[in-house]
Amino acid sequence: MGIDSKQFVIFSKPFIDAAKNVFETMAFTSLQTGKPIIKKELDPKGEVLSRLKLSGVHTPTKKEYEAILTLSCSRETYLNIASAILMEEIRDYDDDYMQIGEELIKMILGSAKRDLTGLGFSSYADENQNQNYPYSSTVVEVPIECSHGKMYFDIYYNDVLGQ
Amino acid sequence: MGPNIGIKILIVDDKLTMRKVIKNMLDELGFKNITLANNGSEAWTLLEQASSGGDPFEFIISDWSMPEMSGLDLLNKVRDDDNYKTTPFLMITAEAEQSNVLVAVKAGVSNFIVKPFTTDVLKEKINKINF
Repeated sequence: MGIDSKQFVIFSKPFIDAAKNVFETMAFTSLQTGKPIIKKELDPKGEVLSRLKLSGVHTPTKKEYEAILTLSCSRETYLNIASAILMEEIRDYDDDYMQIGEELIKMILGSAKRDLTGLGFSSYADENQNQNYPYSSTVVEVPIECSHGKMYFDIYYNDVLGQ
Repeated sequence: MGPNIGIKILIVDDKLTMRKVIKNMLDELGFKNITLANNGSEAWTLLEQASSGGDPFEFIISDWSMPEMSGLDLLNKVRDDDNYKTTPFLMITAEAEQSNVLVAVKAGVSNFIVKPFTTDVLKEKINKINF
């Protein structure tokens, strides 16, 4: 399946900008984003992940869309991020700290929403972490580096009627 | 000028991490008397106990989005109670949606803060509240 790269860039930029803002504010680190690549394997590269699904309408084109955002990283990076956010050393990964990733991705969505609205995207979130990509999806991975380690921001975007 | 650092504060958030983050920020700002509640119902119980004991909370910081009793539900309950009718109430939300702000303002919120936020932003929001 092809990907409308222009639309993808327009859609994904608010999330990248929001992620930079959220991590700088909450985890005291600057994100350096690498070159986006189209994923061959859809599984996230990181072992710890936070995910949410979005749907809505792009008003200028009147097209319905759906999107899935996945932020993943290694367990070590996750604990580094959790430690920075909580200002204490976190060594063990448990349910309470699992919430950090969920909170971060919700904050990213919240921050991105303002820009998305300005670009004509309405957006409704489904916070179920167990979303799967539709069959033969195109997913773009944005590699991210920061002082806490490497992360991967996977973005799936598609016009629902274009499938 | 901000409130006295000894003011009795209640933080309400269903997420442990956010409760800790907000508490850390308040610690950094010098506040000494902080209690944490992990949902709206627990917050209401603590608020009632404190007022019936003659030592009511003087400032409430609550997340908007919580299961069962939302921040808005808590705000409405607080504003219906004579002991907390005018207690400063800071609402925290992840989404900067105008509709949330308007509903909360109508319900009597004292100020609003959008996640993510820094300690400086929290301080600025607190300092704009009339204590």
